Amino acid sequence: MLAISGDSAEDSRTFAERYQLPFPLLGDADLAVSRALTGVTSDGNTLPGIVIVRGDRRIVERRLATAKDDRVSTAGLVEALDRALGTHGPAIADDQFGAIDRIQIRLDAGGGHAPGGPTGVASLTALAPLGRFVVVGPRASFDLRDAPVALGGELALRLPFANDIAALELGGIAEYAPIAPRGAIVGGTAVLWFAWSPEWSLELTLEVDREVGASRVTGAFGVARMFETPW
Amino acid sequence: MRSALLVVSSGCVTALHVTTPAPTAAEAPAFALPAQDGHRVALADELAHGPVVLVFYRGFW
Repeated sequence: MLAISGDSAEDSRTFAERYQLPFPLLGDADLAVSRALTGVTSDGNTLPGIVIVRGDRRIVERRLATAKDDRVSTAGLVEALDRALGTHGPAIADDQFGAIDRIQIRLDAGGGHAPGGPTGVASLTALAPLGRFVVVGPRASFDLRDAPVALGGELALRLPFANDIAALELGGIAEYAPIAPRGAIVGGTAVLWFAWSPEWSLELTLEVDREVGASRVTGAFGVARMFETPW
Repeated sequence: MRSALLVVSSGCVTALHVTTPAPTAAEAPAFALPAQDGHRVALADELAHGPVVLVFYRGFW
């Protein structure tokens, strides 16, 4: 933990010695760091707040004073420390864990309604993040009734939540089934996933496809192995 | 921890007006600031040990 203010080193030294503070009090004389991370008040001082920074410098939590007499509360500080240390609630980043930064290899299985009746489906998808809000990657799917194998890809918009360990993805799918009945498959998916470790996540998928002139609606449950992106 | 709480619980903001727009940066700048004992503390060095909690406080009001 680092404490930051616009105070001079001499003032901070007196303060730290008086209260035997075990962490450094940093002097932000020109308020450049304050301006970048919390703000500056009308009397030319640091706007109080708590900012939690992950190992890759990404800001994962920012709590700022917003009103008169607002201040950093004891409870707020304890909660922030708990989260940073991973001792309570979903840890932000032990080992710089950031689920939305990782490639996911998903294996899903489920069932639904196809043109000829009930069917079972499975898919294998590799999705890589393009920034925070987009994922893209190749996909192979299997349909017991209509398309034994279809190959293609998926592109999805992603809305991360819960400290970036979960997300809702709304995507489009385009595939081609090379085995009879041959044809193109296009569709849309809604995926809700949750990562419970840096390596593994679970997802629920709802998918609506248009294949060979008819519609297919399926739901699936899946598990994903996550890997660090090489870039 | 108790001593840490003294820092923040002693803060009292009166007539607070924020003069800068709320920061929206997704990443913290790679700053290095002088500590009370004179040595410079770099954020990057602290992050090497794990996540860092930055507590911004007002010493005078």
